[in-house]
Amino acid sequence: MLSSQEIQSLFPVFRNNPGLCYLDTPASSLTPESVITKLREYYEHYPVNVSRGLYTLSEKATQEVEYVREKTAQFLGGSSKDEIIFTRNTTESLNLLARTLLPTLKENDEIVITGMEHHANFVPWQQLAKQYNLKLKIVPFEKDGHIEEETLRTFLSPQTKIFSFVHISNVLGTLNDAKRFIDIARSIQPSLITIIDGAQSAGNFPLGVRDLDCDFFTCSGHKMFGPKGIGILWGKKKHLDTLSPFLYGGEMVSSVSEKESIFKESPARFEAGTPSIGDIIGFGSALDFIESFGKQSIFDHEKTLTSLLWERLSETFGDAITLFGPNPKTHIHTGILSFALEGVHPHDISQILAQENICVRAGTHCAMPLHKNLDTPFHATVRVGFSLYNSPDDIDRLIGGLQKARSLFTFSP
Amino acid sequence: MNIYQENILDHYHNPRNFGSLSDNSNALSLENPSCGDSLTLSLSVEKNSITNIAFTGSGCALSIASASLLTEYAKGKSIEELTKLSKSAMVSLLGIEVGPARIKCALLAWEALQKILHNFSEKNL
Repeated sequence: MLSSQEIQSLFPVFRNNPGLCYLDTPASSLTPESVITKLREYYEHYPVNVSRGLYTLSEKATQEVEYVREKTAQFLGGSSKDEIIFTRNTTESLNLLARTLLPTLKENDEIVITGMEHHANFVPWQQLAKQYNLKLKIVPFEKDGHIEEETLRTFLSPQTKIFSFVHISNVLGTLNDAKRFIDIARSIQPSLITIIDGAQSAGNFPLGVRDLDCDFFTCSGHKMFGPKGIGILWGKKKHLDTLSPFLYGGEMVSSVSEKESIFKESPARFEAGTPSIGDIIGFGSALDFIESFGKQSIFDHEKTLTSLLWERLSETFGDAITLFGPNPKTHIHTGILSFALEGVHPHDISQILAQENICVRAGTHCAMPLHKNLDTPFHATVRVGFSLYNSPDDIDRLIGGLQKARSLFTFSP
Repeated sequence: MNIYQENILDHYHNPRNFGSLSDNSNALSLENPSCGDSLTLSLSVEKNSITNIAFTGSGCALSIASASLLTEYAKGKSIEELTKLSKSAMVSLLGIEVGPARIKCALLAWEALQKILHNFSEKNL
């Protein structure tokens, strides 16, 4: 593994912002030079539309996009490039699924999610349930941020048609045992549809979609070192070819008459209109970037930093700090750690850290229902997320910033 | 600019007019859901003037300090005067520069006040 300095040198943002301490990767990862170079290549050499053009530049753009589709399928552990649909982000992928699966549902069918979903895997199902009289069931998590298998069993039933859950919680850092969850769900209702929200796991978790045996998997390119504006929906081909499209328009039809349209097979039937071509092509380079390190080593690096941070925060702040999610001494805790510091609102912490050039996120992290169940006076947390470019130096700086915040706020004149 | 000036921290640690009024006919609660701030502002009006004002709530230093400063400012002022208090005048009361990321915190109490004044005027047309 390269040193964190060597890794930082691969990201222009560190050159342009000396002293940057970036701990907000769960929101968006930084962009490596190689991805920016690829984006420039597209815009400088073949910045044209795909599919329709019979000229060389369009053929080149089409070839590049289809190459990335193939690469994405392999990266996610899928079997065919036809199972990859390009969207804008995880949110769009999940909305696409909610709308596309709707015609397969009838009144009182059950949709099961967990209490640790972010809004992207919460609001689409909540709204669908409200509009079409479906039942939304929410599996609660335990105090230490894990979901009990027994609890999960009681929330699933033969009426459950969709089970959609987060792989790695964007607040608690919990790694849900997706394979186990899916096995349990299928033992109760063999034909239910399983969806994994992989927004926080796609770029670092080593297992692939076929190993997990889910029906659908969603993720966002911008959390995987890719450009903003590119998301993925992976689905089993047998589903994709039978489900109805979500967006209608050009590119997704094989023929159109005044009365009738015939839709293409997947993935084209789900990709209406001009896609974000440059972003897709740039995303291919992001996948190469991840693979040059290996998902497992990224996962381990992030996990190690979290364990160290957990230890340092407990040591430094004792009872004045509440750490959320599984204790890394006994359970897997991925590279995301949220906490609350007594007497200082998360927003104030984040602002004081910002003055030290330390970027963290404060608030509810697009997961308000989750925060309602956390034992914290402000119903908000400070979140730290690690990636390849972070090192124990970042932890030292964070601790220093937090001490500053604490002394500023506990000082009574 | 460091927003955590002595004055802001003082109003955060020792908020003025913190509490509620026995008459809650002119009270309103507002939340800043994405950051977890919540605030309830109540006021008493006599002859078009604010005779008493109080707030409760929890939130960041900026939201609490701005509520405290606003209640100090508002006491004794007329409804007309307070309706004219602009967003930028509210920020001036704080005496610091507030960036776009924190402006919602700084204006939470101001927004509650403006809504109460609006409702009051509607009721008493």
